Amino acid sequence: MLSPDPPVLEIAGLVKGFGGRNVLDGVNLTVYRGETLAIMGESGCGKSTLLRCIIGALHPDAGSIRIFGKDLWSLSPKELDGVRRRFGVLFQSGALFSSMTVGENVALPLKEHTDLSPEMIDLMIKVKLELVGLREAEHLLPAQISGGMAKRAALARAIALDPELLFYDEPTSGLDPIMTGIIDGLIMDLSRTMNVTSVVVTHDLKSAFRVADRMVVINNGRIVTAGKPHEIRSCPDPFVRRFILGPVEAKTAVFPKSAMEKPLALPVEHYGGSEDDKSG
Amino acid sequence: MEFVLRFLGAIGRFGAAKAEELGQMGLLVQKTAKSLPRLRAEPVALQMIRFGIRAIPMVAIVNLFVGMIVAVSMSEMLISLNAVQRTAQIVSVAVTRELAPLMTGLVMTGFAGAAIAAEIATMTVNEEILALEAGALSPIRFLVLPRMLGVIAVMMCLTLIADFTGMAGGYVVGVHMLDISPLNYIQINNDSVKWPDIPKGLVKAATFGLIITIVACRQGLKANGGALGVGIATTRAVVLSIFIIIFANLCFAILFNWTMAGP
Repeated sequence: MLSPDPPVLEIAGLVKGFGGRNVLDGVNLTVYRGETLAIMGESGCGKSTLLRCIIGALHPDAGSIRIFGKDLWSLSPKELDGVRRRFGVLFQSGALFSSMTVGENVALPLKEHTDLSPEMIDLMIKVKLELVGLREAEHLLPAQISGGMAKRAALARAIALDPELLFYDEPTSGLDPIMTGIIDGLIMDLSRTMNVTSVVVTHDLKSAFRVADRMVVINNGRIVTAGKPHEIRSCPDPFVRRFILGPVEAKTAVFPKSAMEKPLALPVEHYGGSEDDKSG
Repeated sequence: MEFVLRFLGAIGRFGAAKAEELGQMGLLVQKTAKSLPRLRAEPVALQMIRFGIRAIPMVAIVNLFVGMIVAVSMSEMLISLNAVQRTAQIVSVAVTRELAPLMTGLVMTGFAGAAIAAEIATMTVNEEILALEAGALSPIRFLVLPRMLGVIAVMMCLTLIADFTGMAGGYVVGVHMLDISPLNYIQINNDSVKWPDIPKGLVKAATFGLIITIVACRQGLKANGGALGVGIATTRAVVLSIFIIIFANLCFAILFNWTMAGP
């Protein structure tokens, strides 16, 4: 899946802090065209902050971010908008515009960034909703659909402009196992059919092992390891082993030491099967 | 001594925070004005319908009562001065110059300001604003600009309605409580409303509309913390709008009276 083309996303020495504490502390990351990269880590490790820096919502304190070969923070607002039109984002909550129907949500980027006729936009809405299996929800408001449908509708909006790069922020959080499988399937289908490069921020190990070509694990604001799924599974780093095998030791709970040393019952093979098997 | 220093420090920090907030609102006005070339009429019209139509009854009734209050409050003094005929003059000048735009502004702070702050704050905490930015859609052009222009336009229209109903309130008291003849009341009322009064009132109304939307949008865009954050943003928007509107009204009163009276 890795491409000889120049990287789509390059992050070097990224630092971002809040309230005197560095949430990101020197992140270096490269994403290649056509691959699906999973960024994993425990809650509060900086995954979402990293994503927000990448999409230009947060200004890093240090470091550089290059998307499609362009330094994000040296671009003018117009140039930044040009870059943003080439990628799509699926937010954790979906972030559908609540005053618009599902169809209007999908139509918005097309109306604002293209010169397509209303009839063409109408057709595109149906195509995008069909891709995510939500054709029947076109005229419903976000409040009238389930969480899983909202995620799929938000994905349809994210792909409205046929982006080259897709970011997924915890795409399966809050979803049942069946819907998780459907979302995972959509991520893989979009990667395959639209040749989209995908960056999936998640702590859902099963999902990550299912969809990812490559994975990175973040801890304390830094990437502790990166590699293919089978390499991550066999990584000797103690934090990575704890993260993969779980449960992670609770930082605030008070447990007897003997309880924290109790081994996890699930075998490593539970997460994803063989190294080449991403069918879930 | 340490207490004094700490107290002064607290005042300084408070002042600096408020100054920064005012500066941020000024920047928001500037960015909104820069979005004007990409203005579309339909979103503005929708905001005018949303905030204008439903506010008419409330604005009309409030200003009717205000006109009546002014007439009733002044009646005792005017009767003692044998100048009850001046009721129409006093009510018309007070309403058109001060009360109609001010009371309309205060009503719209609740009607529009609270609604805008709550709506945008909810969008902020639900990541909808972030989704707009990530989709290369400016929240300022998309959300702030139509609301600002819509509320400004609506404020001017509602102030005209308020002028009329305020003077009507004075008429009701003057004719039915103070036994002024209807024709006499209307004649004096019309003669008292000078040409600059109504446009001055509309300038105030437009300014108050700008204040209401910019304060509400600013509070909404910086909200955080879920439902609690939405509530805080809404409350702050209303309180801050009221304060700034009244301060602006004071500035207008000094400005207009100074220009009329001369230096």
